[in-house]
Amino acid sequence: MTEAPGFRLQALVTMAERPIVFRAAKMLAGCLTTAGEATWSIDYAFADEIGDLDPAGPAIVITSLLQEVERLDEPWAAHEARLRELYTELSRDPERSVYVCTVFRHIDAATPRRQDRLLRIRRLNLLAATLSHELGVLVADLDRDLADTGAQNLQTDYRLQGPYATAAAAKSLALTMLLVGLDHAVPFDAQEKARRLLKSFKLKLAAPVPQRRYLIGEMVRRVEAGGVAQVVL
Amino acid sequence: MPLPQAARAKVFLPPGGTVLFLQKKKSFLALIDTEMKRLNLFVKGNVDVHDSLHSCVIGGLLQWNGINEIMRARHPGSLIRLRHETFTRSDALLAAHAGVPEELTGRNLRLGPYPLASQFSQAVFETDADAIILSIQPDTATGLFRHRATGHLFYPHDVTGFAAEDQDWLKAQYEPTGMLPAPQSLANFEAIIAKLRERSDRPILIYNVSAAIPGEIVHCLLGLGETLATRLRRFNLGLAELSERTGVSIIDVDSLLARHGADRLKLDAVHLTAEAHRLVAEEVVRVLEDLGLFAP
Repeated sequence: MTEAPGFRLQALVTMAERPIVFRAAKMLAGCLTTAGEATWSIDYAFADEIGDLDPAGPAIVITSLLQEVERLDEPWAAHEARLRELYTELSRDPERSVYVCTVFRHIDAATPRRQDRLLRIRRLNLLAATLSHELGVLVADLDRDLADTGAQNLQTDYRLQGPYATAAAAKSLALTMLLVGLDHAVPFDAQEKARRLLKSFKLKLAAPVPQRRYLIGEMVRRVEAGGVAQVVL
Repeated sequence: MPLPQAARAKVFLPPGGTVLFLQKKKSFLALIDTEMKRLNLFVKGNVDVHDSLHSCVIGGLLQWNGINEIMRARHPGSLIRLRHETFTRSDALLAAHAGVPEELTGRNLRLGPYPLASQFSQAVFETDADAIILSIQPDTATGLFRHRATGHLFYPHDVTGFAAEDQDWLKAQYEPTGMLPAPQSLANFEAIIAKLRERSDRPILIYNVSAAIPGEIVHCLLGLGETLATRLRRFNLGLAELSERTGVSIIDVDSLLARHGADRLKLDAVHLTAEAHRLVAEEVVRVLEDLGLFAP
């Protein structure tokens, strides 16, 4: 009897983000199973700190920068240095796929120290890109994907609370994993099929988002505009 | 009594509107002068500021009629008078103090929305407007040309439409500068802010840009150059830091679109829908309110 295909992952995320990882793993297993002939199983373990990660354990590690947003009083230079050290350590093993989730940039107007938080989120998200440039860390750009949908439609903010945000963030994370970083655990063909399935999965939103209809002439304008330096007045 | 055409335009009455209590045009205009509060804005930027504040016309159809649509609803006794000028880049603005260079004056180049008078204008530093609105968008996206001998900066808009001899002249006389790095751009903006404040301490508002780039999906940047999304994030962060240092107000287009859904509100990397322009114009009015510009 052949063993059911599957893999394990470790996640270094906040308590609030654990349902996202759980949901992403479920989406991945569901799509891989639907796309193939076998039933996939994805196991996961959570860690609170880098020291809790099992060095002999799964080679897929999911991390998030969300918990870092609350360290507003830590000077940025020290904050950045600490995170660089953390990700350098995590990336030391070339066989390990390290994902970093960015932070959704929406903060409600009534949130205390809103501007400080927003500035920290911008710094953290840019740092994620820098770490990817320097170390090859894989960016799960939840900020980008959730911004596309919109905080109002997801009824959430940077903390990603609520069922709509959990599903949207999980889809974003699962899609990232199917695009990059799973080659040692999942056959390419299965990834591709699962990715197409997951991409077609429609998110449930707080209210239906009206589809944008192209106006007559709008596409003409896009062509006329050409590159980003062009301006149509 | 039917309202005279000039007066109708001034108070934005609908066609056919009448003012029954007025006996004379002169007294009506006097009433407008005393009761209608006008706010003068000088806007230097390109499609982002123009389409949100002035108007957005797509395919010949007016899609959004500008900031006074918001003003009519929120401040019926006030209206905004807008002066708009295109903006090639911050370094060009700082360097343009000597007027149009003579190397360019003799040439009849078709520069579309970037005429030489605008490219080498210093009007933003000379205006008495109540507030100045700028944008970092030109710095994120525009490549300029530098004159090989004098060093002045020039934007040959739609260079492919230049006559062959003008294209040859451009190649011989100018060299491309490449894109502006974010730190240099933000240093330029800091210098622009300082220069504006030499004249007065009126409010300065600066648009940032949405970093959600349609179609750009990159998860591992190792070995790649800077992506457009990363570049825009770098500019937005730099602008936020600049705001902390100087107190200028940011029109946070990036956050605004993240709140309402960038996918639905962006046409491409640069252009926004009419609905997005309305949201941005509302944000500008909100910031102007916060700054006390509509206080009685």
